[in-house]
Amino acid sequence: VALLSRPLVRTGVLAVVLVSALPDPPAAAAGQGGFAEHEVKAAFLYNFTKFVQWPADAFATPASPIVLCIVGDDPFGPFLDRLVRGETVSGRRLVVDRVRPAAELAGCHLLFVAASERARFAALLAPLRGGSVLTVGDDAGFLSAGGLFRFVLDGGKVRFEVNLPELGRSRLQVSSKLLQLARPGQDDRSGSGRQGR
Amino acid sequence: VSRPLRDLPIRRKLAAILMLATGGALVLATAALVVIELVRSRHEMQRDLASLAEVVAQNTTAALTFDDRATAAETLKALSARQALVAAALYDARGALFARFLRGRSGRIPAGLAGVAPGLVGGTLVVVRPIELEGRRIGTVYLQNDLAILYGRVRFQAFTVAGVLLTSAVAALLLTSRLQELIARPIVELAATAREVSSREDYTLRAHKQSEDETGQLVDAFNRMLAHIEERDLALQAAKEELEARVAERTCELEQELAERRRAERRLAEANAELSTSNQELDDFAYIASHDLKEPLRGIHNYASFLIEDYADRLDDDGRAKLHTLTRLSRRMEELIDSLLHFSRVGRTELALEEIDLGEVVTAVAESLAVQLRERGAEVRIPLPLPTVRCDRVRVGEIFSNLISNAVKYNAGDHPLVEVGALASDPAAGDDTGHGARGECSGPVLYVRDNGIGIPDKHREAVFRIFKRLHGRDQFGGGAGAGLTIVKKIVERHHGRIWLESRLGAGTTFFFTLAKGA
Repeated sequence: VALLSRPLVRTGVLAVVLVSALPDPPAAAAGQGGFAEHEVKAAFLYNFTKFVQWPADAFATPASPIVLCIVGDDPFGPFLDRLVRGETVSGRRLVVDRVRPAAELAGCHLLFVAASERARFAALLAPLRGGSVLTVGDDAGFLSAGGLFRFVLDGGKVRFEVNLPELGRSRLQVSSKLLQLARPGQDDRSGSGRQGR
Repeated sequence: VSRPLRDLPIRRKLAAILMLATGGALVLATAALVVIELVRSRHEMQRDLASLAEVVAQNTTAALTFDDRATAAETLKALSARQALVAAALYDARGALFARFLRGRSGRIPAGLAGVAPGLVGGTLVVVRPIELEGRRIGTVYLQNDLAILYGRVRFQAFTVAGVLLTSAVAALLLTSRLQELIARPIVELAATAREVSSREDYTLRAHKQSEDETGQLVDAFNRMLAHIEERDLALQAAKEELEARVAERTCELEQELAERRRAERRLAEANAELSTSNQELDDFAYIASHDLKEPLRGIHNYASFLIEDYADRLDDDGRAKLHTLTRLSRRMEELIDSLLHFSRVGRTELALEEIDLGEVVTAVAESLAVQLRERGAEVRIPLPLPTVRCDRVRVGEIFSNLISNAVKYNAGDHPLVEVGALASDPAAGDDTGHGARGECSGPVLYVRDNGIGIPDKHREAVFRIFKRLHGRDQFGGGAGAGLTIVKKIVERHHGRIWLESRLGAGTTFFFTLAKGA
């Protein structure tokens, strides 16, 4: 983490690309290009916003920021905050908001549900289904509980699965380019999250 | 146009010109089409490749963003449907190679973005396009097209076009070879007519007019010219005939004139011969007469002398005086006869012509007249050397002797002065001697000038008449009166002439020439 200096992040060069270009990854890293898994996932969260279009009523004003919410045990720490600080997507600022499970989640645009909330997935997601919140998780049962995106590890690399039927029901428009990269996950009821592509 | 083409017959020339023109147009058109097609299709390929790069850029943003090399590679692989594409690559934001697609031998993918050069590279076309997302450059597309296919297509098109143009050119030539007859035939026929006219010299021929264009005008002009020539030919013929008639007429007249003249010449020659004969006869007669007259005259004189010597005492004074008169008259008669003899001799004898120094002649004459000169206190002067002239020495001496003695004789002064000299040439016409123009070069003019009594104008001709004396018998030393007649005869026998200038009381100058052109 120490290697990822702040100016590099602030230049706006995408994290993934930066990661792959860094020459000397830390030995303990489990993610791509020597970056820690949580760091890659944070970058993915940020990048998802670029390929997703929210309905206009999802924002109070044209200048309203895109709100990234984290519920449960935050795996990213300050990394995500630093990553999005000062960045804009489609002319909107990005803000990170850590919320309690009981809180009103409809104000979020992207909701990351940590594995710690595994037991409450269905309850958490139920009011959001068919809405305009992009739900992302990394636990095995997330998609079957009605989640939209789920991080998986594929050969040591962070990838993601998408729940296409549920996504079709939502009010979100996700770029096909993004979906092209996704592994289909709607039938993943085993919770393993390790299907081959 | 080269010399061989210039000398070709007009049909061939037209064919050659048409072939050159269509061939040139063909080559130019083909070349232009090929170049245009090449530029156009290359431009099209560039545009096509650029739009393909755009599509690739659009479709690989997610793959680049989420570091999905496999998907990116698949996206590139999908481009393999394009035949001309030999290489495609994606570079990430740092310029490192992210994904690649390579086919064939001509493709080349640089390891880093730094090695990428867009444009025409070694028979390929390279297009490079940045990939952007949210205003940030996240990577670069690299596409490389092989131009061989394009070139092949253009070549095929060029051959097609050339084939089409060649075919149409051949068709056009076939067509024009018939059409060029329109131009060539009238000219060829005109040339044939012109040749025929000049070889047969038949100006009644006419060229056949086939069209109303310039060639037709040419034919008209040619025919008009022929008509003119024919007209003139006829006129010339008529003039020639008239001229011939006139020449014949004139010749006849001339022949008549000539015959007339010959007759006249013959008559003249006869008259001349007669004259010459009668002249000769006259000379002979004068000689014979005077010679024969001398005998009885001598007798008369002798007998008169005998009478005076033997019978003087028997006669009275009157008788003696009469006898003296008789002897004086007979002597006088003898002198006249001698002069006549001399004169006729001058006309009868041949001249002994040779180159004579006149100075010597005059000196000799002056010496022979020394006594007479001394008596009168006269002087002969030769101020300048006299020329050498071809003449008879004795006769010319006689001329000078006569003229000098006359000059001394007819002089009333105490110191007669005689000057003998020569002028460069005959003063010719313009003198007042009445001899008229002579024209020819007549050699030097000699003169004898005195300061004597002079000769009146009215006697200028008379002085040359034989036995003509202007003065009394005993005045100025007497004499027979034949001297100047003989002088004139000698000058004329030398084919010269003699004349004089004189002022009464001041002196006389005799001029004469010897032998015209001698």
